[in-house]
Amino acid sequence: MTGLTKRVSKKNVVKRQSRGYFWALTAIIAVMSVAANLHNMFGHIELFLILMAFVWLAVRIRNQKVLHNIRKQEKYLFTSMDEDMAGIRMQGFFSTGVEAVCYGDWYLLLSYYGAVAVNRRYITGVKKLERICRSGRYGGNATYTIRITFQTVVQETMTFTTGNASQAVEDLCSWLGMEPEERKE
Amino acid sequence: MALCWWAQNEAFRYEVGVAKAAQLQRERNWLQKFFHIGYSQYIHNHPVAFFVLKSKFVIMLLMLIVYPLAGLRSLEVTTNVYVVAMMVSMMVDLLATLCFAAELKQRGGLDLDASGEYMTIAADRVRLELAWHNYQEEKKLWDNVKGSTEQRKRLKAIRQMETACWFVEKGIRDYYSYVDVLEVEEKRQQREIDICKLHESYCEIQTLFCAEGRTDYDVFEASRLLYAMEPFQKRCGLCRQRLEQAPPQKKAARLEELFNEAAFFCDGIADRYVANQKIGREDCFDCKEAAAAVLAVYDEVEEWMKTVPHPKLGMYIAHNYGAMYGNGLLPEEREKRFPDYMPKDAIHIIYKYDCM
Repeated sequence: MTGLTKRVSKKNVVKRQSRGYFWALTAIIAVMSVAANLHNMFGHIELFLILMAFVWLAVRIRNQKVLHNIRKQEKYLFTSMDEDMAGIRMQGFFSTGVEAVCYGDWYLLLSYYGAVAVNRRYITGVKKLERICRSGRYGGNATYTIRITFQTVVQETMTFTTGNASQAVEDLCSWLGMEPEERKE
Repeated sequence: MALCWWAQNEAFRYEVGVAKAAQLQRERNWLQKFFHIGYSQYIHNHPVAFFVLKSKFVIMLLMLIVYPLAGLRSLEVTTNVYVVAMMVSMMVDLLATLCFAAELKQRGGLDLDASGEYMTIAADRVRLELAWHNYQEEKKLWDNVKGSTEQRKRLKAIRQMETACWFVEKGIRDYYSYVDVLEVEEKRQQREIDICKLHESYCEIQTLFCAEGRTDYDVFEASRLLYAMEPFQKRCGLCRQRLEQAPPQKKAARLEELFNEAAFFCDGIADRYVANQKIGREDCFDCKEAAAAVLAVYDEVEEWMKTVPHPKLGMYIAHNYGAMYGNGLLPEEREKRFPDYMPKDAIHIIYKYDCM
């Protein structure tokens, strides 16, 4: 079966997360700008575009954090994730849940809420597991995310966020052979 | 304005429950539905809020008529007035809907229905029932149109039936994906009955299309829940025929067509497996059988490639072998075929989110 559609690379891993925002925001910007220009309602479309730019920036920053962490690991270990994971494929954005892809020393957890990409040789311990309530605290559909903090070889901490699938995180910890020092609900 | 209308419907559903609301709405005509006439007798908790929403809807409608007339004189003044009025009306909307939101809080922060069921699940069930109802209506319509001489009319009626059928499928996929529903034995039996009925109706539509001369319509392409081997074999036979009859300079293109047929089937089966898995039917069809059929076609293509050279087909086949290995569908004796494309210790799991 060719249900595994996309190559696993640095670019695809972060693109997978922001594709949903891309289509939604493009549609909203198109419709709103046309409506605003037709009726001359706001008078200043720039304000609206700047507002949108903030959202774009938030997405960009989130993706750059993941990329920065991956590049740090690559630089220290003298490897390239794209080359190590050549031939491995993943499902796209539309698969629900948390997707775990592992090959060699790399382990990835991919979800709508963020990506985790760690190398076994760079990690010395799992410092903290944290479950965070993002929305719906006062009724409605509650959404939770899990934040993982790793202890690295260079005596630093590295933080990633992923979707609320505790089994996926437990499996990652058991694959690393490490027990998390602190758990926080 | 649309938001206001939608808010009224939502409020009504919260008060009487989703299933009963759908039943009551079906009894009313379009004018009563549009202006919500005769709804207030069912609303006991927040009658004033509902009245505000209802009257505001009428006022907004009047404004929509008045604005272009006033705008004939000067657009600048009326725009300002109109924007202010819009803002005020949105504030009123908010205040009125907050009453119903407070009610939501009282039910423990969950989206529980008036009957105690989860609202999302009840809404999906109602949608599925409505889809079946619509399909029956379209069928009745077809019975009237059947004898007409115009082909355009007949084709339109069949296409409407197909659309109704698609909505039934969507309803099945939505409703039976909940864990609460799948735990009940009766619901699982009902699911099987629904899917059987869906298959029958798709087959019916296909025969109707064939009678009109549209032979390209296929059940396998129309639905995501069904598994069809026969159309694949039939199409492969056609591709083979074309390949054998083709002149030597076109053999490579025809060979690629045969390969594509198998690859598309492979993709389609993966999609269908995932769609069935989501509604709790892991053992709905034999994936190994489908994989064997696909691999047989690949072998055939490789034999052809000895006489008809193609620059890229070898690589494509190797890639598909790798993907099939990743899904655990490649037989063991074939794993030595393309060792570069088969990562031995790779893990690929998809976890579901926790229910919290």
